[in-house]
Amino acid sequence: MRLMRPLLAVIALFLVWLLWGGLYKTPVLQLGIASCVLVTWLTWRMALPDQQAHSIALIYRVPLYWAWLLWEMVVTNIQVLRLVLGPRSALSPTIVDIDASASSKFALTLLGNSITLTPGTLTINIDGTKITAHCLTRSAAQDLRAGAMSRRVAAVDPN
Amino acid sequence: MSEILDLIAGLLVVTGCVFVLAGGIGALRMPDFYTRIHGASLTDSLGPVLVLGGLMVNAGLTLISVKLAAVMLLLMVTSPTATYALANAALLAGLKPEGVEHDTTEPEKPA
Amino acid sequence: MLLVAAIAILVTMALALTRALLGPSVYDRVLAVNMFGTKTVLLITVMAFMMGRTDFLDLALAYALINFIGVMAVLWFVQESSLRQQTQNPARDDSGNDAQ
Repeated sequence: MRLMRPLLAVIALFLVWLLWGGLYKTPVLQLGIASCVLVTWLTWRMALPDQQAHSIALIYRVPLYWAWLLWEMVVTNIQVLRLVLGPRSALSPTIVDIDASASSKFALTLLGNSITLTPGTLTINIDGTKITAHCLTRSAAQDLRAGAMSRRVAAVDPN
Repeated sequence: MSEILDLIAGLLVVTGCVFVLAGGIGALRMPDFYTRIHGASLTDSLGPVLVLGGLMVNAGLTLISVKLAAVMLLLMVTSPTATYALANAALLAGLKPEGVEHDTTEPEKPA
Repeated sequence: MLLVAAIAILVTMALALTRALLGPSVYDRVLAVNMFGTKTVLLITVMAFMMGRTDFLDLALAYALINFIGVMAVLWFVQESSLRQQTQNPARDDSGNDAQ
C-alpha cells in the first residue's frame, strides 16, 4: 500500500511521456520507463510527497474552480489595465490579513496562488494560520476581505 | 467556418498581447517595487491564457493543443509561485511597501 | 495577426529589460528577468506557429521550467549572500538596494 503512490506517479509520468515521444520502439520505451522510475525515485528522495489523503472529488472540483478563477481574472485584469494606464493618484496600496487557519495545506497553496494570479492582489506572506496580501487599491482589499475567494477554495477542499 | 475560427484565434492572440504590453508598461511606470509586481503580474495571468488559448483554437483538437495546454498549466502553476517567492524574499529582506495602510479590522472567517 | 503578437511581445521584453537596467533594488531586477523569461516562452510558441514548426513547443516547455528554476536559484543566492554579508558586517542596511 505504501508503494501505491510512487506506482501511480510512474504510470502518470509514463503516459505523459508516451504523449510527448511519438517514437514507439522497444529500446526507447525501456529508456522511457527507466527515466520515469528515476524521476519518481529522485522526487521521493528529495522530499516525502505529501501524505495527506485527497478526495477523488478534486478531479472535477478543481477544474470548476479554475473556470470561476478565469472569470475573476478577466474582471481584475481589466481593472488593473485601467490603473496601469491611468494616473498614479488612483492607486491606494493596502495590506490585508486573511484568516486561513481552517485550511488544509492544499487549500492554502491554492488560495495563495489564486490571490497572486489575480492581478491587483498579491500574496506576500503565508504563516500557516493567515495569509498577508498586498493590494493595489483599497477596494480590491475590501473585495478580498469579503472572502468570496476563500469560501470557494474552502468548498474545493473542505477539511 | 475555418475563417471564423481563424478570426477568433487572431482576436484572442491580439487581445492577449494588449494585456502583455500593458503589463510591460506597468512594470516600468509603477512607483514602488510591490506595485511593480502588480503591473508585471498582468503579463503573467490573462496574457498567456489568451495568447495560448488563441493558438489552441488555431491548432484545433491535435497533439499541438495538448502541448499548448501543458505550457499554459505550467505557467499558471510556476509564475505565481515565483512571484510569491520574490515578494516574500523582498519582504523578509526588509523592503517596505510604500504609502501603505494596514487594514487591521477583524478579518471575516471563511465559511 | 501572429506578426503583431510577436512584435508586441518583443516590445514588452524590451520594457522588461529597461526595468532590469533601472533597478533600483535586486528584487526589481529579478522581477524583470522573470518577466523576460515568461515572455520568451510566449514568443517561442508564437514563433512556432509563424514558422509552422510546432516542435518548437517542446522548447517552450523546457524553457518555462528552466526559467522557474533559474529565478528560484537567483533568489536563493541573493538571500544567502545578504545573510553572509550581514554576519561579516552587521552595520550594513539590508533594504535590498544595491546602489553602492
